[in-house]
Amino acid sequence: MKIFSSGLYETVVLGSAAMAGVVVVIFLLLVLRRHLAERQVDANKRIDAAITRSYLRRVAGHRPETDDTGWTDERRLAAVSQIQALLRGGERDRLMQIAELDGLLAATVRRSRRWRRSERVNAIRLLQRFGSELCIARLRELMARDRSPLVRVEAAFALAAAHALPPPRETMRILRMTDRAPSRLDSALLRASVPDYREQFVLLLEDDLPPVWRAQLIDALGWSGDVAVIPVLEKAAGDEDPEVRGAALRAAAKLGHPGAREWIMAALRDPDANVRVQAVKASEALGLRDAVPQIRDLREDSQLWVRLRAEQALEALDPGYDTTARPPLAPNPAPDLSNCA
Amino acid sequence: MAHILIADDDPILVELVKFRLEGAGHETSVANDGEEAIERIRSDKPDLVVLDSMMPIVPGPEVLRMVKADPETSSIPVVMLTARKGEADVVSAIKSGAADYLTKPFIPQELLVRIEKLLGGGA
Amino acid sequence: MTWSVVQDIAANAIVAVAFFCFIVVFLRNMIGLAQLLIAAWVFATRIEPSEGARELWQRYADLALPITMIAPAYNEELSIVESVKALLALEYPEHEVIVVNDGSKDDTMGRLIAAFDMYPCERTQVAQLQQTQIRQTYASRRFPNLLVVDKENGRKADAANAGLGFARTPLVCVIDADSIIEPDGLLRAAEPFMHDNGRLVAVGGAIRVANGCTVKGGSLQKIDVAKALVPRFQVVEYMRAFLTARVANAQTGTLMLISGAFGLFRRSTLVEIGGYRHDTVGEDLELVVHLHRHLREQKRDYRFAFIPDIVCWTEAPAALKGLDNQRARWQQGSLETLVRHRRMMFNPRYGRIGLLAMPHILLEDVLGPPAELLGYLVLPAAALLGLLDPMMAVAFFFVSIVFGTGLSVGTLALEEQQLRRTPSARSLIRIGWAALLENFGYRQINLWYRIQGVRRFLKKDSTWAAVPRLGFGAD
Repeated sequence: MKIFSSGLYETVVLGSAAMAGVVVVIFLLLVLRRHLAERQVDANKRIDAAITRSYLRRVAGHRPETDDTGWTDERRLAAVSQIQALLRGGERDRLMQIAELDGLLAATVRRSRRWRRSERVNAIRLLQRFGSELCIARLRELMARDRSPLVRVEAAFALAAAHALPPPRETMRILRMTDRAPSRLDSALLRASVPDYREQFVLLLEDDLPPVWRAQLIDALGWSGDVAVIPVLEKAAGDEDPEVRGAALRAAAKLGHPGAREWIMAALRDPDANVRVQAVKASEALGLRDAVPQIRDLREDSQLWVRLRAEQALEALDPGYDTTARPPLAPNPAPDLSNCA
Repeated sequence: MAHILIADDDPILVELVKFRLEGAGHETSVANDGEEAIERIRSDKPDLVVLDSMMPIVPGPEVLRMVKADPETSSIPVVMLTARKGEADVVSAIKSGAADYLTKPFIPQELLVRIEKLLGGGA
Repeated sequence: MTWSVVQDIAANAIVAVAFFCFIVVFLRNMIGLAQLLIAAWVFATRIEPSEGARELWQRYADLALPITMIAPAYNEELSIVESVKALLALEYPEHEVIVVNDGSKDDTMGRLIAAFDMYPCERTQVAQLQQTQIRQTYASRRFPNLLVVDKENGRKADAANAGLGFARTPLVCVIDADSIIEPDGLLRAAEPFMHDNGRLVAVGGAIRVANGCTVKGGSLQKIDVAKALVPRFQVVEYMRAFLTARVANAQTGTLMLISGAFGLFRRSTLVEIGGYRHDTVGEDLELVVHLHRHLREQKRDYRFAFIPDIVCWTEAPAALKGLDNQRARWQQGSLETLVRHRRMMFNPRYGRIGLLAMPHILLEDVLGPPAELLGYLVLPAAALLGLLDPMMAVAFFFVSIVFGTGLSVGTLALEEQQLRRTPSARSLIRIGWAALLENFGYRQINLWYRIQGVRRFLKKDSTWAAVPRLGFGAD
């Protein structure tokens, strides 16, 4: 009986053998590459150490070495990026200037055009460190036009670190933020840019934005370090959306200014459990001793997360509070609020 | 001139700190992990230790605790150098006896000044 | 009925079996090839976390979702203190460690109390998911982020559930107490949650064999490859499972297994489904299948991710004794899960899970092992009896053995090209050699163990041995 012709089996045999053969050859080539790299390893280590030492010396004001055989741009860049990650202040600036003089900036810009996303991301991190006009321009281009959303976000973070991010309305548009739900990176980006654009953030709140995004903007205001935003937060604390109210409390907790006292305490009675949790946290952050009686009552709250958070806040706010004197809290199948706890 | 032990598993950081300290005329030795750090502190009795908080085998805070618990080494000042920024870490490091605490990235000049101040105070 | 009719029927039956075996083995290997190619594509286009992760977390530490590590421990007095120290030392902005002493008969509890200065404390259990009694919870005077839960003996699933019930953070990471986690493994595993906008439910990570490596103080000192062959074979298997199969599955949205040795989950979702099941020997496979089922029945938009970089190392059985039991158990667990969730099979309501992933498990775990083992016997026999084209028997061996070797070596090549975590060219050769030898004996023995698992399943044997499941067949 023959269902398939024996030609098919021959194809299978030859195909399997060819596939295995090709793969084995590739593998052996990789082993060979590794073997050669191993023989080079000591020499490479010496070169890398020499490059590192040379940059450290030059930052400290010494002259560059004359013998730099094998010091490829790739190697120099690797050394510079590792050193700069450890340095801060004037010495880092000096290091980056020296690197720019060595032509490493041009190499980085070239790298930021490579096909592999990871190469571009690494280039972005270096561009941020160089920080010159040229770098900012290239980063803006990447943020606006790169085909990978991940690379665009990375460029946005680099710009934020250099205080060169476009205003929030434009940033949100370029990254198409409002088309999706916010991620934690979005929160981070907004928080990072708020010190530069506080007024624009407040103005943006007037726009017709989805509540989750309004909550993000409110949340970011807490990172402005400016107590002038407290009235804005107070208004948000009366918002109909619980997420916005919660964000206002989070922001107030971060600012830690007693000007928010009254409405934080009012929020302890909020109908939304998540908001109550945030209010307890804010009370704790501001050290509101006046809120202790109300927080005591929250130990009998219908929601477990509120009860747990209230216990925790009381331990911090009320030094005389004895946790062991009370019977342990009974668990209940509460809706999950651990994201805010 | 003093003998300073640098305990860190990052060769670049070691190179950087070493270069600075040697430039200022100090003698340095290096430990690449927590266990080696403890051994060297016990055997060499350096004048000061620069200690990374995240190291293989024995993490920095544990090294600090052991150094401070041993009466033979408890007087050696330890400067913690770490990537952690948490407030709790700073507090717990100072509590367990760190003489000073710097976070990465750092200003090398600042590290040097702080170390020299500690050494000057001890002499 | 004449003798010749009987002969005819027998001959036809043999031929049918032979074709069935051939097709099953052929299909499995084609899927293997597809997975290898998908994985190669994923690796070629991914962003390596090397420089990224640490910097990211340093900048945005206050946005990191806090994690609770849940480490069930049973009779681990020799290693528990070192393991817990390593867990506490993991790099992460905010993590709590919950060790669940699962009624150990040795001094696990005493060692913990002495080493970490533990004292009895009252701690509210947020959700009660375990079936055994909690004896006491302990807090540490030295580490505010350490909690030890002492409970009556259950199984790993029960201990993990107990710990899960005490967790309060948005993420939980369930591990084995003796898993050796890379110092920045938690950071890397949590990174997908930074990019997530609410869909991500769980993250799995690549696991490797620690045999042959130097382990000190609960962390890895030196990576090396074991001299013995059995662990070396498993190195190859782990690479195939974690470097190609899981990566390809995650990419195509059909990740069906997150190993019990390391898995990061959204706490709330685990609590929703009641945690791990107690009545299966394959609780980690069951958990992920259950999650798929639950989330799809609720019509929620969700996603599982997989980190191809190594997050965790684990000690594999060093000899065939031990391996036999482990593999039989994996097989049994897989069958139990398939039977429990059989209504998902070929059911369009469960989308690609019902139409692709479940049938794939069926192919790999139910049809695959007997088909291959049977094929080794039936095809040559049929060819000798003149019932089949002898070329077919030759083709069968080429597909199963030569092609199989190609897949294994291909995975090694991918590893070397992308991750390069093998310590040297020498060790690479050693693993390559194992990838070749594996096909002559080891593979077949494994199939035999899995048949034993089928037997256990049919006997409803639920004896439990404390070996973690990593599962290679299933995906």
